[in-house]
Amino acid sequence: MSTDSIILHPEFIPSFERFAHTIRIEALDDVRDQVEQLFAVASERLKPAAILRVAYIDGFSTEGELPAVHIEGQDFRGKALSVLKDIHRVIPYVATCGTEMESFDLGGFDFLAPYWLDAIKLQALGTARKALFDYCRTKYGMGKPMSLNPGSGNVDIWPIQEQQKLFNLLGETDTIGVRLTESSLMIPNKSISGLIFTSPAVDYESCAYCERLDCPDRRVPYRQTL
Amino acid sequence: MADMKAISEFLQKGRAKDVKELVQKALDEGIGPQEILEQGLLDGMNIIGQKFKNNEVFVPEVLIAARAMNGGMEILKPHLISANVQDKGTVVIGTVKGDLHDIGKNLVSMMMKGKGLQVVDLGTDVPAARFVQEAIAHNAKIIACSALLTTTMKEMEQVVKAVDEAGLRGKIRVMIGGAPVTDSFCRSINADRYTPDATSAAEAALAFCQNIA
Repeated sequence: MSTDSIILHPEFIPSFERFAHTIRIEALDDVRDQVEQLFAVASERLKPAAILRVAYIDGFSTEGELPAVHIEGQDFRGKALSVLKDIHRVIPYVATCGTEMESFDLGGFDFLAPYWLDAIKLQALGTARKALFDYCRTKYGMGKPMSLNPGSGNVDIWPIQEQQKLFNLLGETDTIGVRLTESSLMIPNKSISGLIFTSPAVDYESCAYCERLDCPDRRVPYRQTL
Repeated sequence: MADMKAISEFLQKGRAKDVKELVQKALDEGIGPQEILEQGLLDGMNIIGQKFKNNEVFVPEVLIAARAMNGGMEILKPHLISANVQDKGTVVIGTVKGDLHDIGKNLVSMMMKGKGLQVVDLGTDVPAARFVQEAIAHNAKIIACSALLTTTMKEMEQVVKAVDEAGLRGKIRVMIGGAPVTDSFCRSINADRYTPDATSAAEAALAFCQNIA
């Protein structure tokens, strides 16, 4: 682990009401006991976490038509990185729901139980993400922290293959239980990674550049160009 | 008297308990299992599928509807077998090697079942050779591959090649889908069909099985 890495372990207090709405509990009266049991177990066990550090941008260039950013020995390339042109400091991070339910046996549960568990894990990830952004606001004075995420948005925004370099910047992310597969997939599945930055001149949200216009999780309207 | 419309409506609301009770009631009243399947369960799933395609309902509604359908099928299946009702074809489905995403694949699987197709779900991280082995073992007409990553979608080409090498081109159709997958990618790897959503995938699979595609 890098000497200056910081690990956050926020308290996890999930909302049963939000969980119940997500899984449409009104239709699940015949398995309500299972739903409540899984919520109780996951709520107690899941320990959301985040790892972050401060990193400084060494240089910015354009290779072909693709912006490239050099951060402490790692070279990143992708359209989205153009927003870092006048930025000097970024916060590489990984945040996760926690590993505590990864090997939980759902064998005796209803076939929808994996989705119920994902819904709770998503709340845990939200807790980790909020703690991370709150930390950046209070510790680093970032008024409006924004995040670039490899693999988020359309494929050419910032390719997911860049994930490994981001992990290299952070050192040993397995201190919070997150590992990267050969295909750049993070495990646990409810984990996020990226570079946090702030800029008065930029209003970046990866969701804005995704072409799935009718996505129910869309946070901001679609924008065609960066 | 048992009401097929009520089965369909309860299924659309995801009310598994009510669907099971009504399916049992319909059987008790002597209604044929195929009629219950077609006019009750599959009708309900078709309506949910169309609503999902039109963004009138979202993933949670599809999940609870599929759960209700499963509940109805548990009761109906022995009667369908006794009555020698044939399924409409078999699909082998899975997420390709290196990829562990399964919600999209599961939705497609549920929608395909909702069309009356037999679905063999191989899960996630499935090597190309296994798709072919299982398709042969289950006499499947379709292999359906899912990938959610640009790093793993190239595995779909390996599945197409494995089908070719097994001499099954034309006998088994390869369908592909997932967030980064496009129609042009489908053509570039010589897969048989790309579909952008679960409902379209189920419709295409049924059409393939009925030899009208």
